[in-house]
Amino acid sequence: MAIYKRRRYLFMTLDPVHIGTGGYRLGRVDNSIVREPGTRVPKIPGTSLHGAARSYAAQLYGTPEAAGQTHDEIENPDKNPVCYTFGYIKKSNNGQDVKAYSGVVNVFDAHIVLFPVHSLVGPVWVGTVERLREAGFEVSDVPREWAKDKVLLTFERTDPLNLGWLMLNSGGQVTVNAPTNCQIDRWNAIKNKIALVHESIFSHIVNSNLEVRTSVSINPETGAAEDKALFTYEAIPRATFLTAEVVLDDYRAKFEPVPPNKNSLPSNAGWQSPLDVLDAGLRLIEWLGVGGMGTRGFGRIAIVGQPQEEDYGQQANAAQSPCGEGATTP
Amino acid sequence: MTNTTSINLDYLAAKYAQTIIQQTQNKKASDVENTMTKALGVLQEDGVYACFLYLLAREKENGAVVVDEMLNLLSSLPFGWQKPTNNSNEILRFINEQVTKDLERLLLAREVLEQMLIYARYGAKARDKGGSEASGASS
Repeated sequence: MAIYKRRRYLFMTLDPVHIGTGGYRLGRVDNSIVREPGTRVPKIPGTSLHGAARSYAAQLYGTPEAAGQTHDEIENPDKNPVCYTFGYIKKSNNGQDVKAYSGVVNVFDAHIVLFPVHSLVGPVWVGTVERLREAGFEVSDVPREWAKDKVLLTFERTDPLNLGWLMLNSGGQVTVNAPTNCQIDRWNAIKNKIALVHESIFSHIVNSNLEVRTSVSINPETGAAEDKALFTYEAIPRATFLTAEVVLDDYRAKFEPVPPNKNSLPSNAGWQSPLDVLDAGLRLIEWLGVGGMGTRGFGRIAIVGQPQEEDYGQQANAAQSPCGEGATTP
Repeated sequence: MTNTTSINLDYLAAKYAQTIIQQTQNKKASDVENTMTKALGVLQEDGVYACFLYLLAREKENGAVVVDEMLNLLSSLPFGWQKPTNNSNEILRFINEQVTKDLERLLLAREVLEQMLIYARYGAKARDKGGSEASGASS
């Protein structure tokens, strides 16, 4: 019988993150990033997270050939936890026999929840009530109706506040609590610097405050910039909080747990389920990054605390016990 | 007074972008593109007022053409905005007192101006037939 589990991760970007559109968009910059079509808010597609997690899990397990497009070199892919988790295509007998299984974890897009913006009181993290609640945050003291030109704050302020170039009036104070198992230092550092705006304003603020860089090709002989080799690109800035869901659809129910120290797994990490394989891959993104410009200071994303987990048909509960300093129950 | 008939904003953005490219026919395409890219950057990061201020203060002939077409575009929107005279102070006062007054109108104006500048930027690139593609280069 299939077992369905859902995990919701909270991420924080440690560097600018560039997931490019591959030149399929006209924009202010030459290399624009992927956006949600309805809102034009940038996102990190599930495909990017899935690909990076698979690749890093394969490296961790010591079978890099378990990543990539085909997995012909894996002797018994059903026994390989990476192939089992993410699926595989194995051809043999000169391509005559093809064995293929779909993966058992679904990784969905990561959406921006809190976005850092400069203001006259220093950096504030802009979000919306809907996005925060969707991500499992508790938002209280929200007025029933509030004007579009107003901003709700988690700190005391009655004067107007600028969010980048846009000046908005203060609409009152609200309280925002993160899910219990995400209340670690990274969250504590920003929880009293949050500004909530209407969804329709959110996209404008995010798009006005993306990181934009200009690079140029350098001629190795002259050490000067090459003519016509200037290009611009944009990225989700550092310290942006995002949320993404993953779902376990273990329709095969044949995963063989991997003990710690098996192959090249770290001594403190065994894999009890495909979600552990995925989790291990996602956690390596904090070191190795995702998206473009990875060798030039882009791409690292950290998981904030532990994911929220729920079984199908049950209420959300913590995947693991509260972690980190300052963990409290909301 | 507000005009309630439907308006194709994309058409307006393309129309005034084309006018910019025509008006700058005798200028180097890469200079026109450069002006557009910088104007877009200021518009996006610092807003509508800052964009006009930048073009009036820092860009020369190309900037004047862009400002004129940006004003034409704004006066085509159904908000009853009357195009100011060709005087820097008047232009900035118009932006400050009329365009930035209402948040929703300001955001729409910014979005349409951005679209127009994007079209003009790529219009300049297209005109620069001898140029090579910049995107995809590395540093």
